[in-house]
Amino acid sequence: MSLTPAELAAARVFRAAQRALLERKNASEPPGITVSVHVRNVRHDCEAKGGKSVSLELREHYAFSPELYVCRCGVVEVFNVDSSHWDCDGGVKVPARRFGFIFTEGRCGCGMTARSGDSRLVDPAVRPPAARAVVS
Amino acid sequence: MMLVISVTWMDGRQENYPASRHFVKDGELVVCEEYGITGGVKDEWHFPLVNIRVWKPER
Repeated sequence: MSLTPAELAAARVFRAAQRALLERKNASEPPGITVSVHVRNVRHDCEAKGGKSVSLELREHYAFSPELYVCRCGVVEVFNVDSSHWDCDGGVKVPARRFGFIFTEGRCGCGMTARSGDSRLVDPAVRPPAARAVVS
Repeated sequence: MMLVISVTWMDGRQENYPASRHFVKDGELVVCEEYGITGGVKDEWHFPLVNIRVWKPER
């Protein structure tokens, strides 16, 4: 199923905003291991266990997109009736939960954090949150 | 014999993963390589099947 131009614009803005949040999190709390978003278990040599190799589960963090407004002038923003673009003629509302943003994170007992360096933008109708996902 | 699963992404990028177990769950290919006799120590990957082609050698 293809996206409408408005959905495409909204998806790009939502993904960019979520990626920026993830980058800020990585900068403020740098992970001990950076992995692909497709990794769900990763081994690391745990100092608390004398350097023994232990597995660490990365849980999915799943964020739904808010209701977005795509103005005909090109501005995309979270829908707000007070927005100066709300009365622009020809804007399109993209409903909330139209997109999902996924990254993964896990913490070992020793305190070491593993986090995905990349992320995924998904259609919640096709790819809903996993069973044990942290949903926001 | 160690089984290696080849994953080819839509852009042609190919990656190989060791797999002692693999199965499909919720539209994703789960590839798991377990270490040690007792298990529990493992690497595990989840790949969206809509984005990949998978090649598995016959054992």
